[in-house]
Amino acid sequence: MTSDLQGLATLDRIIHEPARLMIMTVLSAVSEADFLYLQRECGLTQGNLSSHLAKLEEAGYVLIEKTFKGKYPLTICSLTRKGRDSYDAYVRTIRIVSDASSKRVPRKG
Amino acid sequence: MYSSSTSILDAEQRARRYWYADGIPTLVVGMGLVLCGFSLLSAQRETPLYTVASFAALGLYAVFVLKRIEIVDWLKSRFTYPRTGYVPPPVYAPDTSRPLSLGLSTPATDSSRDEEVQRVDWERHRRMGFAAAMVLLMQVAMMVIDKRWVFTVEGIVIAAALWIVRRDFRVSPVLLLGSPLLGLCTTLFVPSSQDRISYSLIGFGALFMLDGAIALIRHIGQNPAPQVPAA
Repeated sequence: MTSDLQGLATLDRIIHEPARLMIMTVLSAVSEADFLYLQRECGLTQGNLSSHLAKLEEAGYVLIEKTFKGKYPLTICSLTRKGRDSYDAYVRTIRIVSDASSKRVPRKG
Repeated sequence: MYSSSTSILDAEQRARRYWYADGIPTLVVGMGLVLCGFSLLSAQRETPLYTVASFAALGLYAVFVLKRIEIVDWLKSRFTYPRTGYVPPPVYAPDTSRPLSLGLSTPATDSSRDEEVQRVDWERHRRMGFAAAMVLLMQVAMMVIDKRWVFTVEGIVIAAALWIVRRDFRVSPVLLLGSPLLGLCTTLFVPSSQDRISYSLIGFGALFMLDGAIALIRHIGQNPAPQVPAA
């Protein structure tokens, strides 16, 4: 359990923040999504989502492109290869710790 | 198995549902069916005007079939994307995403994860194949059996097929109840056996259009357009 537990120390802190984890989770399930879709799915404010996306973009996890669909301007976000790999690694670590804790002998009383 | 609350498979399915939620794809399918029915109906009237109308409708139907996704996307860029955002349709991005479970409540290994994804995909394809076979069989029956009641059965079969295909998304009462009713009406009120198929197609198209229009009006009502576009 100790080594599993210590694995938590290696968790990616950029992804570990709840709002950013939500963003990464949504983006990992689709090939791309626009700002408004992410905002609605994650329940974040515009400013909040902007700042978290900026952090993810800075880390090289998310690619942000501005484009148009007809006359409607879109801010398209997608996970980069690095972002996908980091996210997978994060999920694996969480799973290992979760597995270990579910095997723990329950305390009496 | 995946936990429904933490599964990324869910996020993918929500994105899939999102494509149909505004009713525009249904509306476009309905328009295509109406055009197809109208083309068949006009072709049976042997006057030059009807012949021209039949070809025009057939041409438009071909455009609807070939450019369906583009038409839906164009309509969505006017009604849906400014209100609720954009996510690509399932056809554009079939397997690029890699559904995973966070495994917080039900841990799963990588292999069981892949198996689960395959199982869900297979289940979806099986249901769609079964529904398509039902409808195809019914179309053959309509051509072979020259009886009026076939159209009533057709309405029931199509309602069942729609329920099988769309139960993950949204089973519309307009389509579920309307299809058997339409089949019954075609049986009772259309005397010419030649016209029955055309009217049946137009009727189903109208039902799809009605269902799509209701969903679109509801979607627009629930999601008013923002004053300033998202950053």
